[in-house]
Amino acid sequence: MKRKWKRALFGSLIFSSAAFVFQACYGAPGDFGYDVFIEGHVISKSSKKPIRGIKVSITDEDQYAFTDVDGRFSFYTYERKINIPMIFQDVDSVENSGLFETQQLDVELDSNKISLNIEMGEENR
Amino acid sequence: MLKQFFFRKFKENETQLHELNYLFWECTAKCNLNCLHCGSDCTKDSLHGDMPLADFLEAIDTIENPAPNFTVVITGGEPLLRKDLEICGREIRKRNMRWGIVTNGLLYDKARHVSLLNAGLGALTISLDGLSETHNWLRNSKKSFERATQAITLAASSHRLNFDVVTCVNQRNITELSKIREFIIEKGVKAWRLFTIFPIGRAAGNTEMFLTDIQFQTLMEFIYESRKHAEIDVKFSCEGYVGKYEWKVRDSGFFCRAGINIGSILIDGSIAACPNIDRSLTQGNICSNSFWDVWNTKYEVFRKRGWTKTGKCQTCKEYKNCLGNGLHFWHGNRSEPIVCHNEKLL
Ligand code: SF4
Ligand code: SF4
Repeated sequence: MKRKWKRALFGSLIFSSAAFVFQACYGAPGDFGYDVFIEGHVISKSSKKPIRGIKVSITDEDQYAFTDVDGRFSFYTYERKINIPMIFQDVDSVENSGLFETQQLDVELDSNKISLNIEMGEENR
Repeated sequence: MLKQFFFRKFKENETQLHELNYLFWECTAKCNLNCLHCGSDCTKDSLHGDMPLADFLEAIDTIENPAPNFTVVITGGEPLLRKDLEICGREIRKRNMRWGIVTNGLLYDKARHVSLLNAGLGALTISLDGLSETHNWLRNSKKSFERATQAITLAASSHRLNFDVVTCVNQRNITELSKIREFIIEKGVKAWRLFTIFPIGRAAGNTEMFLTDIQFQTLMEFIYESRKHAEIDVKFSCEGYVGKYEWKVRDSGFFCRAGINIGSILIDGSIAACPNIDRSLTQGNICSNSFWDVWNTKYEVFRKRGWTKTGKCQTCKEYKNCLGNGLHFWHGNRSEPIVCHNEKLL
């Protein structure tokens, strides 16, 4: 404890927060950023069965994932001051148990781990 | 003067604290390039298989209360050759730890960029050793510049990544540093780290790799001048004590944190400090030792550096600030460091 206090003291006396920055010549910069973990389960509104192959994207960043065979997806994304704009799209059309309507969602950031349950309606053709 | 005094006190305190902040994991010895300056023994088909993820996880699971800024840096070889890299990353994140990679960018395409971000990649370093011709020469591959540039463009587009470009400065690219700076600024790069090559591994027999003393001085001046521009954060790597350029070419003074805050788990399970350090300084092996026990009870040779006061360092006036330069310069019988940056600048 005493040494951590000394660390702050000497750090401030050398006028540099950079004294705490880590990096070895051949290493990556230390990662001090924060991020959010989003996971979810996508099922069909009518059959309640999981849907595979749904493209889950964040629209203000080029980031996406596809639901697996159990309809699940998960990813980390950067923390924002605003809600996270997401879109769920059936990009493989009828291949996976039907054609589903695109759904858009603004996800509120109330914790650094968010779980979503999404029901997608089938498109009438 | 006062600043140096307090910085020495700061370093002494850090050495006593011995907090693990940065852990290298040499996850594979395989590499998809054959760079002229490579200091490791990596080949396309290494003798070592990739380290099983379970072995690495078992080692890091011994760490009690990791420091809040604790980061695992995955290196190789080329880490992107591991098909399960994203699984490794997610397992690290599940343990509330952060992770980053160092890559040559050859396999870093859009799909991989997205899957790595999804897996919580937080820090990324991409090597770029010159403009097209020079980079391809050093990297020994015609397509490496184009691929590295693609990787840089993708990385720079991300809001999340703590990302930088590193360049090994040598006799061929020293004259094009300004152009490289313009090029990467144009690609959206915000941080650039330059380092020099030292005479081990494949580089040892190739004199074009090493800067003359005058060129080294030119490099210091270039970094010093570049740091006055706001567009990009340019710095010299942690590699050595640079006398009159101390505090001018980096955000802080020289501090070799190997074994003080930096540890590593190498491809054969060795527990060490920075991966480029002589393997005779290995502290244990995860196959037979608890990583955390080794971190807490060994590493004396890194924390008590009195043994480096030998050879040219014995009578050096700068010793108390330098402590024998970066430990990766101590090889063989350790009679003195193979490079002293300061003497190049006198
Ligand atoms: S002689 Fe040794 S202690 Fe002195 S500046 Fe060179 S490497 Fe550092
Ligand atoms: S051993 Fe070398 S790379 Fe590692 S911290 Fe020291 S100077 Fe940096």
